[in-house]
Amino acid sequence: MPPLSNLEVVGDAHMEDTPKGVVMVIPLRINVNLKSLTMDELQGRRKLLHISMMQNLLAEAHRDLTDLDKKADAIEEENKTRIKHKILAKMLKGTLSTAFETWRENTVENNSVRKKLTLTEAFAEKEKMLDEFKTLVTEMNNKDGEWFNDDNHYKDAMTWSLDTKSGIIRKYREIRSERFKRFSPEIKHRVLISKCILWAREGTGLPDSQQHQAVPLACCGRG
Amino acid sequence: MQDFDAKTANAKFAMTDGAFVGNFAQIELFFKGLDGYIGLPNHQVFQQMEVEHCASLDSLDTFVTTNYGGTQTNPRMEWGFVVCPVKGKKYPGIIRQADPLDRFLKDPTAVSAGLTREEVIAIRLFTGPMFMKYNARLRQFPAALVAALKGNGFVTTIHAVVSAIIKLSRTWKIPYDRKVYRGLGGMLLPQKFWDEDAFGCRGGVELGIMSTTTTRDIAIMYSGTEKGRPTILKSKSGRSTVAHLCGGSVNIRVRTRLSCPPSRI
Repeated sequence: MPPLSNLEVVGDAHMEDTPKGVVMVIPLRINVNLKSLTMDELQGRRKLLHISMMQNLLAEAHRDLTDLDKKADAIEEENKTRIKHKILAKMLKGTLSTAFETWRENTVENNSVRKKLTLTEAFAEKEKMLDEFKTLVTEMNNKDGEWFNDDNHYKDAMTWSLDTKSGIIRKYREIRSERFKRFSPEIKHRVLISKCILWAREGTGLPDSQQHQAVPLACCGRG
Repeated sequence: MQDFDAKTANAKFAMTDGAFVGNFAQIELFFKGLDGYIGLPNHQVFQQMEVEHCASLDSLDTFVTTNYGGTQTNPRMEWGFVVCPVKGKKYPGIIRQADPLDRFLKDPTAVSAGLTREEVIAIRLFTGPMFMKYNARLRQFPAALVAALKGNGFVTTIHAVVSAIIKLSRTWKIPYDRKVYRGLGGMLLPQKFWDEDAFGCRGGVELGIMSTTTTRDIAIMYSGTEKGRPTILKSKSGRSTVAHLCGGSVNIRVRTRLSCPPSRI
């Protein structure tokens, strides 16, 4: 019997006459220990552990990116509101040219300096990164158990997995934090329309520069 | 059959000279499993088994078996005998043939069970004198033999033995109502075999790899009659009484390298 088998006494022990004399006989029920594995199963354990770890890392990455989205959405919303209030406050003070400058600083110039992704593009990028991770899991799963028993291979596989997860999160955080610094196209459009209406009503305070005029007019579909 | 209280007889056995109580574990260890008890094997199985037998502190220490006529040998010698036997060389023990390993690897039983080279080596080592060291490690008994291990845990080898047993048990046909016996060799069973626990169970967890026999007379021979404490265990063996997956005890009579009685483990 394999080690750690359970010997359970079933019934009463009794004495029996044998050619060698009287012998005590103890009736048993033996339960073989099922937790023992074969060497093949044990040798495949590194692979099993690694694939399980990768699947967990993938799930964790997915969960972390979702959390990141929630946090980023909240910050973006807060930023939009803050900048909108800032511009409206300046509008109310009648310093429309300053208000326009505030809008420009937060939108036009930043947009022209760096390429930023829209929310849809950011989500697409997230899915793409997760798909790449899934591909890596599949590639690892296609390797036989022996491959993982090579220490160098195992080390590489561990590094790839952990680096991939942290890389995905770092990259996506950058993508979302870039977006913190600007308005969404929707809010930008609404602010511009509001401003153009205000400027049109007052008939004063329009920025002098032709270039500055062109931007709000273009956003209102009048450029 | 004599009709008197077995408990009383056991108490009398305990009064005899040299009486000792066997070491059985609690049920918790059953659920912990072999990995939890001795740890995991090295993934480089052959290399680690070789280290355990040829490059450990006890590798050259001679030990004497309690059966097989008191064979004097050491782990390195046993490794050499099993893995790379030298034809014509005299090895310790009675009636030992230095058969090449390939012969056992090609054995139909080994082939049908899908035994690996390491598993065949392990099961051959276990069915020779090395069983003493492996079981001493598992049972942590007797103390002198445990000390003689010098910290060598034989973890990978033990896992390989167990692996072979599991594989063989899957392919072995077990006749209905087969009974197996185990002589206790003068050992007394601890109190938990006599008194029910809170769940109405009696018994314990065998720490070692336990050999049994289908022949009652052989069990009686090993029961400890000469020590005045003759006791045998009797159990039904088969898929109905033991775990379905493991399928029961394993007959490793086939091609064991010593002329020993048919044994089942």
